[in-house]
Amino acid sequence: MQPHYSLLDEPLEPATEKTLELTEDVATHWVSTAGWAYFFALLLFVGGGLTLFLGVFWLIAEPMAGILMMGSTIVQCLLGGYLWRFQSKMKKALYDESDVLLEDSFRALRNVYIIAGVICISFTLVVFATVTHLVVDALLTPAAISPETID
Amino acid sequence: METQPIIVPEYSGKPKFQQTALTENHWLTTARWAMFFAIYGFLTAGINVLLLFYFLYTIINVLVVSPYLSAMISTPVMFAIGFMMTLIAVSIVFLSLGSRHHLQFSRKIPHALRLRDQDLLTEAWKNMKGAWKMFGIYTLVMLVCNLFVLVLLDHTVRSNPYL
Repeated sequence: MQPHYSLLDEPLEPATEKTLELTEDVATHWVSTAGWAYFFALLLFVGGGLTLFLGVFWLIAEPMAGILMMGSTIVQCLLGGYLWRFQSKMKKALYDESDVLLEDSFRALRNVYIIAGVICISFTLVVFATVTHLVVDALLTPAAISPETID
Repeated sequence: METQPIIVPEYSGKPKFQQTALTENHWLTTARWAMFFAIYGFLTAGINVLLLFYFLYTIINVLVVSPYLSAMISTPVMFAIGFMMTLIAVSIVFLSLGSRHHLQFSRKIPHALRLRDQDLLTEAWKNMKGAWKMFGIYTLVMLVCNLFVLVLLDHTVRSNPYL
């Protein structure tokens, strides 16, 4: 029976002298993950291209919206680039059996998670601030018809 | 003279290279962020559940409490509400499953590295693959649904002489 550990248990020191091996099963899971990363990278590049196209038009009509769209393009391309790097280096690492390429590949995956996490946190904060602003605005605005005005 | 058997080297089925300490460090950082995404995903799924209940409550109120109002609501409006509810339900399923995979990955990777457990490592990466698969299918479903809505809107606008 496997011992049960909670996340806040001991520091992450190897408890045994055993070594971990990269089996074929693990490599198969990595290849599948890399396949989905390829799909997301393509989707992000297409999305980035579309927002760039729209951003150029918006820049003339509404500069602020255009700048936001340009920012969105940069973020999408950055995320897409890291995903692309993850999948391409992973495939190369497995083909060449290279430790260095494998390390680069997982560095790119880590960066994808960090950037996506920062985007999620920023997006949530923006939504929260907007909702709070709307609620406070609605509470502070006097009602059009109040009991006093009826009398 | 005794003949020696010929030993043919066979492919062991394992890659010949190993992960470095830095690679393991990247896995741990990824696992921490996967935990964040798991919590974020579960919270989003929870908000979607509340939204679904709100829709159901509104529809039941309209249909049962106010029969005059329900008679006024046309079939396309009911279809749109039903379609939106289906999308929310699909979101709940995919977000929950994907987040569950992320959570399991983030729990298994530190234990696999500390205990040097081969099976746990394989399971962890299987979970990671599962998470990406879930979010990939979810993205595909949402893309198709959005395209469907765009085509439907276009058809409605073209077929309506007043618009």
